[in-house]
Amino acid sequence: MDSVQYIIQYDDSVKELVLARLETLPSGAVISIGSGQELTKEELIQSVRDGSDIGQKIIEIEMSFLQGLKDGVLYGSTSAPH
Amino acid sequence: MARHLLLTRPGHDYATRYLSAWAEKFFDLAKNKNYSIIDLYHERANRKEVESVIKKRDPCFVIINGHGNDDSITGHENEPLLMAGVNSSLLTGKIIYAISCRSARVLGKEAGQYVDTAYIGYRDDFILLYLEKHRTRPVEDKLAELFLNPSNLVVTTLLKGHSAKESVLRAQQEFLRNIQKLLTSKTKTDDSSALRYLVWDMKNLVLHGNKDKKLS
Repeated sequence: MDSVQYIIQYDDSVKELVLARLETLPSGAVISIGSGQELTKEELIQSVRDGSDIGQKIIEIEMSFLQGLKDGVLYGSTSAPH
Repeated sequence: MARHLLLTRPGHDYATRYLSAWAEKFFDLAKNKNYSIIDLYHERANRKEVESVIKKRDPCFVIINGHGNDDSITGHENEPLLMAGVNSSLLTGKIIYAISCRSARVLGKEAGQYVDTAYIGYRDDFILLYLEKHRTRPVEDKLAELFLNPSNLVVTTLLKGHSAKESVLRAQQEFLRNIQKLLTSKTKTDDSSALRYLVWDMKNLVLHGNKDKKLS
């Protein structure tokens, strides 16, 4: 993956929440993220534990999802094309 | 006059093999709509071939499957194919769909400023979930389908003569349909874990440039 610095640091409670959610991924699931990164469920969980760039990104996605729930994204408010 | 569709299909890792396999699903429609498909498969998905095809054949539609970053999209073995400030002007007058991470941020924005150009892509990482057991048969992977069907809808909507804006809206609606399907009680918890990544891709699919542009 290209070296991207993620500025937001999440506290441990957020990390624990994300880890719990990642446990629900199907076993045998692989996630492709960034430029050429392909991680198994176990590697994904480890990356969040380690606080690596990918781990930080996964937390960012989770937080964005929770924000989306608040904004009603699941019920039809897609963002308009730019 | 023949209408050309340029497509890159690298295959150096599982993600690019998935994208390349799923791209075959719109070949029949493209042919039925009288497009000649210029398919740069695996090793041919390189910068030299892409530049040559664009200059000599002038495709109206360019579909890039691969990895990417803010400034560029890549081909086989991650060779940069199209780069902001380097060769992005080759895209002038075309519709581009980049199924890659982040390229809409800088490259897409730049291309969208060229005359009569529409650039569709993702402004952040494009996430794809798939199942290890389907790695050798990507098109049978129902988990990957949740992500790649909406993505393919960008292409099929354009091939059917709709505008770039319409293609993005339909793809976002398809993402949303998949999301809502996963919310029903019939869905296994396993599959519903894909929700957050579908929402992510849906939100990051954007269009720069001429929103009303259609394939000519």
